[in-house]
Amino acid sequence: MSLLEVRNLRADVDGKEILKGLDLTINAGEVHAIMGPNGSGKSTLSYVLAGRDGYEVTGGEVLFDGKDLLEQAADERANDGLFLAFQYPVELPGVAGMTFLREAVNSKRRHNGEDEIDAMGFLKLVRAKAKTLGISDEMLKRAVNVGFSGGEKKRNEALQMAVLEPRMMVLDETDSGLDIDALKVVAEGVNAMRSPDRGILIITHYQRLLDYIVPDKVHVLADGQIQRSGGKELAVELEKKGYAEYIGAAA
Amino acid sequence: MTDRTLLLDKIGGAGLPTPRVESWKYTDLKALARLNPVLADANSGQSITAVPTGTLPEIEAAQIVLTNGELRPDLSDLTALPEGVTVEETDAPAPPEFWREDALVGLAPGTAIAIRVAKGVEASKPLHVISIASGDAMAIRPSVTVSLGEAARLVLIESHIGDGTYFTNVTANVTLARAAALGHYKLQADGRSAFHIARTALTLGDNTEYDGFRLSTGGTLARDEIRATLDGSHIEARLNGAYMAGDGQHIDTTSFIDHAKPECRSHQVFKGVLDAGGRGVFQGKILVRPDAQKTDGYQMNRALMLSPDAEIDSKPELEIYADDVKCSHGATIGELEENQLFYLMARGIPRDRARHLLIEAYLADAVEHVGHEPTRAAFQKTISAWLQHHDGTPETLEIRGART
Ligand SMILES: Nc1ncnc2c1ncn2[C@@H]1O[C@H](COP(=O)(O)OP(=O)(O)OP(=O)(O)O)[C@@H](O)[C@H]1O
Ligand SMILES: [Mg+2]
Repeated sequence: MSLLEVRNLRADVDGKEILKGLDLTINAGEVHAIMGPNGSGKSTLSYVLAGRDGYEVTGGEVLFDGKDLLEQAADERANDGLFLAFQYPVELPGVAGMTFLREAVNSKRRHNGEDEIDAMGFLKLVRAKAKTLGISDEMLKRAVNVGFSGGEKKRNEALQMAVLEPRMMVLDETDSGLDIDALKVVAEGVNAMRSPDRGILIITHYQRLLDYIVPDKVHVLADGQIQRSGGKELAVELEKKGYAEYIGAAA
Repeated sequence: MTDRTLLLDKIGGAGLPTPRVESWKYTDLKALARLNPVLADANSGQSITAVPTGTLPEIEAAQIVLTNGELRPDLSDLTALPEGVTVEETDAPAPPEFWREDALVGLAPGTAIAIRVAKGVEASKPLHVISIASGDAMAIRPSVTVSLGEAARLVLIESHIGDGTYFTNVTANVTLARAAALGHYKLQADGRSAFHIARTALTLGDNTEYDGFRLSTGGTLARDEIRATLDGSHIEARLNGAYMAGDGQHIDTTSFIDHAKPECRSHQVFKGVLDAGGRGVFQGKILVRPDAQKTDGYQMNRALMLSPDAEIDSKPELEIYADDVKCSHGATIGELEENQLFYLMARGIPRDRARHLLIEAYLADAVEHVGHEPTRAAFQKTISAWLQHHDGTPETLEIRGART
C-alpha cells in the first residue's frame, strides 16, 4: 500500500478550478519532487493535502496510509503524520517558539493517547535539533516567525519538521529564500529524515535543491495536472528548457 | 434588624444615570433599575465562612477580606501586615468634587477600609483586598482608601468575586504623596449575573509612579471608571488593562487622565476580547491643562472580535490646552486570523486550542505591562482559565457557608 495516494483530485479556490484531475502516488521511503510554473497549483495541492479552509475539493480522493485524508480536519491530518512546510510561514505575534513547539508535540501525544512531554527533556531535544539547523536559543524564545528573515523562517519550518517527525512531509519551496550555506544545512536536515517508512514531497523551482536531496521521481505540474513524470534527469531537462511545452499543451 | 432600603429609594431624586448623560451613553443601567436591589445589611456577609479558592489570583500577600462590602477581620491577615502598613475602618472620605453630582457616588457607605503606608516604607509584601459577594437582588458597597506617604512603596491587588444577582458599587480613593510608588492590580471576576460599578480616583503627587492594571472578566454589566489626577510633576502613570466579555456581558472601561502639571507621562493600553453576545465599551479621555507642558500621553484601545455578534464602542478623546506636548491615542478592531489558525492546526493543534493560544497571545502584550511579576503570572493564569471555561462549562464559584 502506498503512503499517499492522490486520485483524480479536483479543487476550486474562490470558485475557480485550480486542480483539474491530479494523480500522484508516493510510497513510503520515496522522495518525489514537483516542479511547475508559477500559478500552476503547487501550493494549492499542498494546502488541499494539509486541509486548509477555502480550498474546496470537487472531485477525486486522497488516501493517506489507506485512510480517507480529505474528511479529516487539518489538526487530525497533522497528528496522523502529515506535515506541510509552508511556502510562506505565518507570523504568530505573542506566541513564543518553544510554546508553539510544545503545544504541537503535546497535541500529537494526546492524539496518540500519550502523556504530555517532560518539559526539561523537551527543551534539550529542541535545542539540539535547533543547533544543527543554525537556530539560536534567542530565536526559539522569540514569537514564531516574527521579525525572522526569509531564510530564518524556512529554517524554522525545518526545525518543526525535525521535532514533529512526520511520516509524510510536503516541502513547499523550502529552498526559496535560503542562502547557499543554509540550503545545504536544510537539505542535510531533510536527508537525515529520509527513512524507509517516511515519504517526502518537495515542491521547488530549482534543480539545485535536488542535487542535495536526490529525488526518486520528478513530476511536472502545469495547469492543475501532472503533465509528465520521470527520474531526476527530468529536473535537469526542465532547468534547461523551461515549461513552454507544458504550458502550450495545457492551453 | 434588617434594613430593607431599596437602591432606587436610597438614590432618590436624580435616579441612576441614563444614556442621555454623555458619559453613560453606551452603558444603560435599566436592568439595574429593574433589579432595584436592597442594600445589604451589615451582617449579610457573615454567612460566608471561607475565602473561596480557584478564581482568585494566587499571590503571596496579606489578605484583607470583605464580605458583602464589610470588613471581615476573622478572614483577614490584619495581624500579619507588613511593617509600616496599617489597615482600619474609618469614616469614608467625601467623594471627590468631580463625582459629587453622581447619584451612585452618593450611595457610598459611611465607612471605608483605610490602607496607609507610612513615609519611606517599602511594604515587604503585597496586600490583597478581596471583595466577596453572595446574594440575590442585593447591593453591596465595598470602599477602600489607600494612601502612601512620601517615598512609600506598595503592591496592592484588588479582587472582586461572588455569586448571585448582586450589585457591587465599588469606590477606591488612592493618594500618593511625593515620590511614592504603587502597583495596583485589579481583578474584576464578579459573578456572571452581577452588576459591578467601580469608581477609582487617583491623586498622584510629584515624582510618583503608579503602575495599574485592571483585568475584567465578570458581571453581566460592569463599569470600571478611573479618574487620575496628575497633580505634580515628573509623574509616571501607567493604567493598562484587559477585558473579556462573552454572551450576556457588557464591560465598560472609562478613564479620565487629568494632566495638571508639567513633565508627566501617562500610558494606557487596553485590550478587549469580545465573543458572541458580548459588548465592550472603552471611553478614554486625556486632558492636558495649560500648565502641563511636556506631557507625554498615550492611549490605545484594541478589541478582538471573536464573532460578528460581538460589539465594541470605543471613544478616545484628547483635550489639550498646552502647546508643547506629545499625545496620541487610537483604537483598533481585529479578528482572529484564519491563516494563523490554519498554521497552528497544520501543526496538530486543535482549533479550540489554537484559538486560545492566539487570544492569549493577543492579550499577552497588555498583560506584560503588569510590573509585578507574580501578579502578571497570576493574571495570565486567570485569562487561560477564563478561555477554558468560556468554551466549556462555565466556572461556578462555590462560596462556602453562603446562602444556607
Ligand atoms: N485565495 C485565492 N483566491 C483566488 N485565487 C487563488 C487563491 N489562491 C490561489 N489562487 C490562484 O490559484 C492558482 C494556483 O496558485 P498556487 O499558489 O497553487 O500556485 P503555485 O504553483 O504554488 O505557484 P508559485 O510557484 O508561484 O508558488 C493561481 O492562479 C492563484 O492566483
Ligand atoms: Mg506556491
